[in-house]
Amino acid sequence: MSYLASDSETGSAAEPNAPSLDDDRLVRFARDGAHWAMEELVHRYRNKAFAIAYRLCSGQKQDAEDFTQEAFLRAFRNLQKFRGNATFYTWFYRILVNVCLDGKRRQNRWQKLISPWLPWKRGENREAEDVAGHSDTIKELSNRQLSRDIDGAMQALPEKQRVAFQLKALEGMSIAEIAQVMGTAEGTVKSHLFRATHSLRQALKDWEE
Amino acid sequence: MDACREYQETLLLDVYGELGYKERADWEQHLAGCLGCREERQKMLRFLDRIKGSSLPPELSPEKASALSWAVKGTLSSRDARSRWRDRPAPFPARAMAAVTAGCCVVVLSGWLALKWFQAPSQLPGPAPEIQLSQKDLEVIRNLELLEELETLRKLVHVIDHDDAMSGSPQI
Repeated sequence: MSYLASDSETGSAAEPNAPSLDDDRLVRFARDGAHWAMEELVHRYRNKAFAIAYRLCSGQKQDAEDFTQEAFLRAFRNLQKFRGNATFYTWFYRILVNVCLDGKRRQNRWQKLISPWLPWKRGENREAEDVAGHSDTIKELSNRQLSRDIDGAMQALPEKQRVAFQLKALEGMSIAEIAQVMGTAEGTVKSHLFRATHSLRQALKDWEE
Repeated sequence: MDACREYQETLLLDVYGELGYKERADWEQHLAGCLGCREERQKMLRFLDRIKGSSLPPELSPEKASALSWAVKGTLSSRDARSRWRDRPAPFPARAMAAVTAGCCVVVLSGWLALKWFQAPSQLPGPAPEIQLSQKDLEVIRNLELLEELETLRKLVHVIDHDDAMSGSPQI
């Protein structure tokens, strides 16, 4: 065995060789309060989680970082509720997606309330950053326009279709995994995915060669 | 040339890599003879590539990644410390001190309330001087008519006395 486990195999006294452990074992250690196991799980999934959060937050980097952190904390607080029916990462991504969607809804509510009194909007800031960060070649401008159009078309999709499409087309998850993350049937995920693909193609048909 | 309607779902499952082994064999056989489906498949693959290429998320920098780990670890440690502090039973002197302090507070408060409750009504302060003054004024107002009559009588007596003095009373 490649790690030093205590008698119960879940004790937190001895710190095993964390990277060699699979998720199930790490979750068992983490459930018993082993911080090194939690750290290893954060280390394994932080980049992927950040990428998902970044896309679900429509490119708001700071929000994506905050939601990723919040999702990890919420997952570790509720680790006792994880029964092992699904893999850890689909269970965790479900929490992450919920944190991001809840956070976005909360922000939208606040923005609706306070936007009449604000002299600027967040989207404009992002655009200014984009302009500052790139050279103005025609290809760059074209790519930026395409990126903006894709972003706009994505935002126009219903929430479930958008999540299903992002998890499949951009994160490469299988339909079965997406069904677990979204808590729906595989057929429903397929339906969301096909509708989203159709709507996006319609919205972006000017870009098709 | 358009793609076949009955193969639309299969086409999407193919480009998303979700086609089963048996379905794939049928589909490949169809593709070999259908130009419309082949073209549509190519378009779909290009479309998905463009979307993937244009929305690449930024890399989480090593500093940000370690900051994230530290933030999660720090929050979990402080939560554990708080729960340990809450779960720890308080030592006996501390508990006794708390009980004595609470008892003293109860005694002082009930004494003060009892003092207020049983205070004699005579010891209560009387009406303020302003209220007394207004009571005097009220008395004057009530007897105003009488005072006016007395004033009229006084004037009448004064006039009669004055007339007598002018005409001169008979000297005896």
